[in-house]
Amino acid sequence: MAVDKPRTMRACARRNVVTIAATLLLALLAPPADAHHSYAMYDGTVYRVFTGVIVRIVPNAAHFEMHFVPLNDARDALVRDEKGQPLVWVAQMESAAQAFKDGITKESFPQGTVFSMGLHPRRDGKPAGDRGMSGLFQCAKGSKPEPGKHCDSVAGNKTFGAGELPKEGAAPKS
Amino acid sequence: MTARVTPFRAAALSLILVAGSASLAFAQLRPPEVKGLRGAPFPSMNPPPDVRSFGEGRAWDGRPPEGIQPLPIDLFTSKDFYKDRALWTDVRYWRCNAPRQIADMRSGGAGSSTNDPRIGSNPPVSARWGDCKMDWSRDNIVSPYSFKTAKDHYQALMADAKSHGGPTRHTYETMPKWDGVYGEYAPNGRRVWNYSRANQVPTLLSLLTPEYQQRMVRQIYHEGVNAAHQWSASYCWPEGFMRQWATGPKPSRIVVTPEVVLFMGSGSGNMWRVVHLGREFPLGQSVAQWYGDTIGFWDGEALITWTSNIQGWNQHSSWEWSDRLETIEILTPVRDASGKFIGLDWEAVLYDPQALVAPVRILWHRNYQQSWGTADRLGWTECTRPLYPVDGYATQVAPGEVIEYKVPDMSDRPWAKIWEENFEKNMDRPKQELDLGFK
Repeated sequence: MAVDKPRTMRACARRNVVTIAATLLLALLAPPADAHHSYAMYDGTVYRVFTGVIVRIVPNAAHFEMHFVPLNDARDALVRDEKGQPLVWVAQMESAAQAFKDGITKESFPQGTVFSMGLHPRRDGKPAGDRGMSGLFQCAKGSKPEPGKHCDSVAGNKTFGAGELPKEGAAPKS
Repeated sequence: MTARVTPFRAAALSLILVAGSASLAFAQLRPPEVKGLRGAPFPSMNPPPDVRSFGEGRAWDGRPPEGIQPLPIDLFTSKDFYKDRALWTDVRYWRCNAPRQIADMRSGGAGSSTNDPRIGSNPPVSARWGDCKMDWSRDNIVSPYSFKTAKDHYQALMADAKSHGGPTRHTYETMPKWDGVYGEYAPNGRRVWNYSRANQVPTLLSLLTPEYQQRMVRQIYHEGVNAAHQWSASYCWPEGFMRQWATGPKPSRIVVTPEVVLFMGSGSGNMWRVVHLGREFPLGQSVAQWYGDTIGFWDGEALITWTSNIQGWNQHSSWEWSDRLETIEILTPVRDASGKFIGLDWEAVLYDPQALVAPVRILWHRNYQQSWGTADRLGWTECTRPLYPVDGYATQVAPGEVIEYKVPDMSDRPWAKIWEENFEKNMDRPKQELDLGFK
C-alpha cells in the first residue's frame, strides 16, 4: 500500500501536539501532589467506612491527620481494644492546604465531633488508613446516626470537600 | 621589645577594665523606659546570682543548713508528690534547690558528669541542700505593666508610636543595622530567670495556675528523684518556643530588611523566627507554630513585636506553657559611650492565661559579636540519633539493637505519658480520662 508520507507526518505531528497539550492540561488540572511518603502501606482496593468520634485533628503540614475512635454498629459506644481502652484510628488526610481549603480545621472538628468517612486501611490490619477519595460527613452537633448508618443519613449533616461516602468493601476501579 | 607589667600597671589596667565593663553593664539591661508600656526598671535591683549548693562533698549529703528545720516529708523522701501539694510552697520541700539544681542532682550539668553528684551517696534521700536565702524576686518576674492580654499591650505600644508620628517605616537606607551575630550577656546577678537556676521552686510555682503547678512539680520530681529526664532534644523532639530563654537554640543571628526581621539560631535544634513588619494577624492558617507567628513595627530604633499562635510544649526543669501563650517583645539598641552599637536589650512580656496566673517578663541582652561577613557559617541541626525511652529513661541505643518502642502521642504531652506509665503506678494521680461523649 502506498503511503502518503507528508500527510502521515502531518497527522503524526497533530497527534503529538494533541497528546502534549492533553498531558499539560492534565498536569495543570491535577491536585498538587506534595505527599512525601509512599502510600504503599494502604490497601487502595478496598474501603472501610467508619462513623467515629474525633480525638484530635493534627494539622501538621507534613502529615495532616485525624485521630478518632470508631463507634460500634449500634452507634452508642466507642470501639475499645483488648484492654478496654478506646481504640484510636489515625486517618491520613489530603495535604494540609487542601484540608484547610475544605474547611477541615481544629476548630471545625473539635474533640467529640461525630463524623463518617471511608478509609483505605493499612494492609497489616493496624488501625490507620488513607482517606483516598472518600467523602467526609459531619453529623449535626449533638446528633448521631441510627444503628448501622452514617452521618450522611443524619439531618443537618455537613460535608467537607468533594466525594460521596463509599460503600464498604471493594473500592470502585477508576 | 618586651613590655614589663609592674604591679602598679597591672592594678591600673584592672581598674580600667573593671570600669569599662561596669559602664557596659550599666548601659545594658536598661532599655529606655516608656511609662506603663516598656522598659520598666526592675523593682529589686542587684538580685542574687544562681542558687548555690549549700556545701559540697559527702559531708553535706542530706544535711540542711544550720537553723533550717527539715520537713518530715520532702521531695526526696516522698513516695507520692501529688499528695504533698500543701508542701509545694515551702522551700524546704525542695531542700532549697532551684529547679535546675534538682535536674542536675546526678550530673555536672547538661552534657557533663561529675564524681561528686549532689544526689549524695544514698539517692534520693541523701540529696544535698541549696542555699535557702537565695532567690530572684518574684516582683522582678511578674510583668510591671497593667495589660491582661498581648493584644492590648501591642495596641497600646502602637498607639504610643502613632502619637509621635510612628510607626517608623524604615527603608534599606534608614533601617537599623543590626545584622550580625549575637551572644548572650548574662552578668552575675541578672540571670534570665527562665533558666530556672536563680529561683527557689515555690517562687516559680507561684506564677503558675494549679494545673501547671502540678505539671512543673511532676517534672522536677521525676528529674530529681527518678533521674527520668524527658528532655526534648534527647528524643529529637522539638525544643519549643520558651527554650530560647533557657539553654535551647537562641536567636544568635539577625537579618533586618524593610519587610521582615529574621531571628535565627542553631543548637540543640534550630530556631527561625520571622517578624512580619506592618502586618496584621492572621498570617496564615490557624495551625500552631513552634515559634509562633510574629508581627511587628518600628518605633524609631525600637523593634516592637507580637507573637501568637505558639505551640504549647514544655521545657525541661521548668514550666510548661499552653498554646495560648503570646508574647510582646521589645528590642532596643544599646551603645557604648562612643556611640558604638554593642547589642540589644530584649524585653519579653509573656501572656498565657492558661499556664500563668499573671503575665511575666524576661529581660535579657544579646551582645553584638561580629558581622555575618566574618562569622563562621550558621549551622543547621538535623537530629538523627535520638535516645529512646527504655523503661522510662532516655537511653542510648546502638545501631542494630532491638528495643520495644511505644509510639508517643506528640499531640498529648508525651513526656507525661512516659512518667505515668513507668513511675507513677502507685501514686494517687488525679484522673484525666478521655471524655468523647460516649461510653
